[in-house]
Amino acid sequence: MRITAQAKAETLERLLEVAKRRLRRASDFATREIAREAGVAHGTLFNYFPTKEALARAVCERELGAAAESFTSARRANAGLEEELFALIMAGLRRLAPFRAALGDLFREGPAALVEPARQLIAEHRGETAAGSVALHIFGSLYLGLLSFWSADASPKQEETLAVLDRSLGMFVASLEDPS
Amino acid sequence: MNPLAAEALAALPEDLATGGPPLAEVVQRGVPVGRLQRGWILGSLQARIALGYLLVRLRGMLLSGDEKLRLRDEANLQAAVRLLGTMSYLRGGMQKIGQALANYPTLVPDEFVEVLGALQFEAPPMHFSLLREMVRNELGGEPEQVFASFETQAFAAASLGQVHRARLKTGEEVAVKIQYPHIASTIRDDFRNLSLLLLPLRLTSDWASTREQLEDVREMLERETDYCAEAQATIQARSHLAGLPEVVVPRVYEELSTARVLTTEFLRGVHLAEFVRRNPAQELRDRHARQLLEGIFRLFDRHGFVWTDAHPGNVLFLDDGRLGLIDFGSCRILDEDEWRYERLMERAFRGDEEAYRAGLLLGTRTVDGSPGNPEQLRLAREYCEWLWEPLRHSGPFDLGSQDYFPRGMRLLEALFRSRFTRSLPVNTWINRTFLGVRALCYRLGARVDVGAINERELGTPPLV
Ligand SMILES: Nc1ncnc2c1ncn2[C@@H]1O[C@H](COP(=O)(O)OP(=O)(O)OP(=O)(O)O)[C@@H](O)[C@H]1O
Repeated sequence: MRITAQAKAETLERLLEVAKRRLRRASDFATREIAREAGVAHGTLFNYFPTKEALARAVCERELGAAAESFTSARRANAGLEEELFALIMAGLRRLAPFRAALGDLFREGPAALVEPARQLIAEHRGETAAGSVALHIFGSLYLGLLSFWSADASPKQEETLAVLDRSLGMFVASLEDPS
Repeated sequence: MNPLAAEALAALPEDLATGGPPLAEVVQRGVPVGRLQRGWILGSLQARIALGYLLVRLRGMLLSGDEKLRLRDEANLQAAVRLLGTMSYLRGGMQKIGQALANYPTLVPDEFVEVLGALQFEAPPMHFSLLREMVRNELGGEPEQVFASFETQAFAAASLGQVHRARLKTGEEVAVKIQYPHIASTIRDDFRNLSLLLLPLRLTSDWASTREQLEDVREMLERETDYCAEAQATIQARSHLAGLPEVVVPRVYEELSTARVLTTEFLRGVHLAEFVRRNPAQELRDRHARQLLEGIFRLFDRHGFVWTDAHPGNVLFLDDGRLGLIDFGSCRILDEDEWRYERLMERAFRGDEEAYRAGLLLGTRTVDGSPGNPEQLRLAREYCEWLWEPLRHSGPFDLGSQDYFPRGMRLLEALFRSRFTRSLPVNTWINRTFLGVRALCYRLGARVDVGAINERELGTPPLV
């Protein structure tokens, strides 16, 4: 029996839903359990996601995609690039907050769901040339660094993350202004 | 080795203690670009490196008893301190600490006071996205939800953050002071490092007194970074001054205040510079100076409440003719010993010579029946006399005269130059208050019957 594209999409959706719920506690995030709860064979899960980490990343990408959307619909007029990038990233962290502890070193590169909207912002504020691959690579690294910092941030209300984000974005945006 | 020196050396990162990499390189590194020039980057780490460097310098000084070597090392140290001042990324917490330490010129080498005192720190301005996070974290909702309206641009800079105007849902206009995230613990770290640097500096003399003063500064910094404490002090001051209708301390909105956010009634008025620029009539100057002195004397004489932040940024000349006092972040309340000391000085003021002598000894921390340093005692006495001059004068005293205030400044300079390290910590704060107030009155060019205010405010318990 051939699996229709629709059935495939539905399975994917179920897997992501279950995985999202279980990502809240590291001990709950077991592929066998996730597959069972989503009603698919354990092996089938790996047709969709080659590794457990890939599944977790997909959950996060989706959350970040939603965050980027809500950011876009609530942009403040006259805001500067730094302020906008800050708001974009914070919208993402808010969606990821339930899984904060699990995120430490989940990502290898900046999540596309954030890097793309960031690219658009940079292009909009500083022109297309400023939004080149080097800048995006730096942005991605900055984001990964932040994520791992945030994941382990023990300061009250993770206020240290805010300070780190503020300063690193300041540096990042300054580097866009002066390419030398 | 002196245990204190051992402690300082033990605090060094290992590679520094063993003479490791060329630290001068680290210290002399270029200044970061752009916006960060005014801010500072993760202060404590760099501070640790820089202070470590200074401590290496100090080591030579501690290990060699040779006076010449000691002087040479002290010169090195001073050069290093100047360097420290050029490192913009240290400015954050350092400036707060510098301001606090500048009150103890006896404790710190001159260069230090000069450099740190000159640092004009502005917390890196917060854009609205960061502000929004702070409001969410601290007040549990978006600024637009918590307030009826909230201005996205700050209207004033605070030393550790910024102040925004907003309107409450109930209609009141407020000033919302918001602290830059994580600054409180940065300051704590930086101060710890700085203390390690300072302790061995004064090994030679009065170490107990030095320690006491450092502890005092630490406590004060602790208080200043906690807006909850400031809220409580403001509420207290407001209630103490409730009987003076012409002096206003803004109302605190406690439900909208936390350790990092302070929401107070917005006071409509101008600062001293603007007030004076408008060339106000003598009568108005006199009136505001009288309000200021009444407020300060009432707080101090009746409540033992020392408003240490008596500087122009914290006095508002209100449009309706009243005087606004803000910023009670670093107030002190006299403890029992300090009250006793003030009573002695009150008796001294009334002409009791025996109390005078005892008070001066106490104030200069001369203990164990020692006769004290005659030069220090003479200067301290002269300073008291200067302080009391307007109080003893009958009728309005010209606080703006070219003779009075500058004379006090010269006296104080002489006291500082003489480098007596012993002083009761509370004296520092009392001096700061009364000097600050006199400086304000001087700039106002005001004539006030200070003696009458003093007698009125003293009431029954006789206190200075
Ligand atoms: N309630 C208020 N009404 C009007 N202006 C205010 C009010 N509170 C603060 N401001 C303005 O904000 C400025 C900074 O406030 P404040 O002095 O409380 O900050 P701070 O950081 O504690 O200052 P300091 O440098 O003295 O420690 C004031 O000089 C004043 O102009």
